[in-house]
Amino acid sequence: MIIQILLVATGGFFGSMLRFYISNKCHKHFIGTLIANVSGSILLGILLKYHLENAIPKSVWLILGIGFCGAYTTFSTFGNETIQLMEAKQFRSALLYVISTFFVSIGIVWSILI
Amino acid sequence: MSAGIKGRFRVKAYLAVGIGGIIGSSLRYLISLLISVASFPWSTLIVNVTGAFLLTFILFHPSIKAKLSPIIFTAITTGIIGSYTTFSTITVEVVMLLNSNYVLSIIYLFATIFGGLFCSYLGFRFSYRLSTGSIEK
Repeated sequence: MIIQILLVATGGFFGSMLRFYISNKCHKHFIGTLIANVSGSILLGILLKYHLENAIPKSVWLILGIGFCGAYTTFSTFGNETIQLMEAKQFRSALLYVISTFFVSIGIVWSILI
Repeated sequence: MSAGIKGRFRVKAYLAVGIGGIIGSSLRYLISLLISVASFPWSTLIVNVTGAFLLTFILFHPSIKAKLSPIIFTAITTGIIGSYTTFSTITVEVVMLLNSNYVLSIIYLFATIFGGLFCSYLGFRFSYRLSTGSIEK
């Protein structure tokens, strides 16, 4: 179990730094979170497809899937950004943000996995 | 000279976020090992709603940010909590559940969206109330 945690932690180290990099490049605008969440979901969808087919070793799944994709994408920042848009009475932007984040990534991952 | 200091600060900030990412993703993985229910993705839902609350609570708390260095603050918020919660897992779980039990999939999706946003709002309101309370004093 220690090895598994170390693999996940290694992926988490790089995933969180890449998310931070994209967020800085986008000047902390929520578009950075959207880019990370959608691209990370696509990568996880591809990895899961190979994981289910046993085409990749479990260690790769733990580093890249659970660790990297898990940490590269985030839900807490998405929640905060949506609530801040609502506090600023930008209800249309908030709704668009929620819908685009979820439905774009679910739609693409659906087409990969099904 | 100032560019050098700025550059060193930037390297430190990235490393701090990365170390936060180690802690956050390990915690998320441990919770997924502890709460593994085959029929419903409880562990993802639990880390996401608790992380959503914690992030807004810490971001808007009147004194937490002032007491910590900017690097440690970023390590906790962007690093630990950002990596503790996840979005990509929600997406693949919704799609996999759609395939086996679409009612559960939709329940999971809406529980995540509304439960998560409600917890983000709660964290924000809790801290907001603390900060207005301290001003009144």
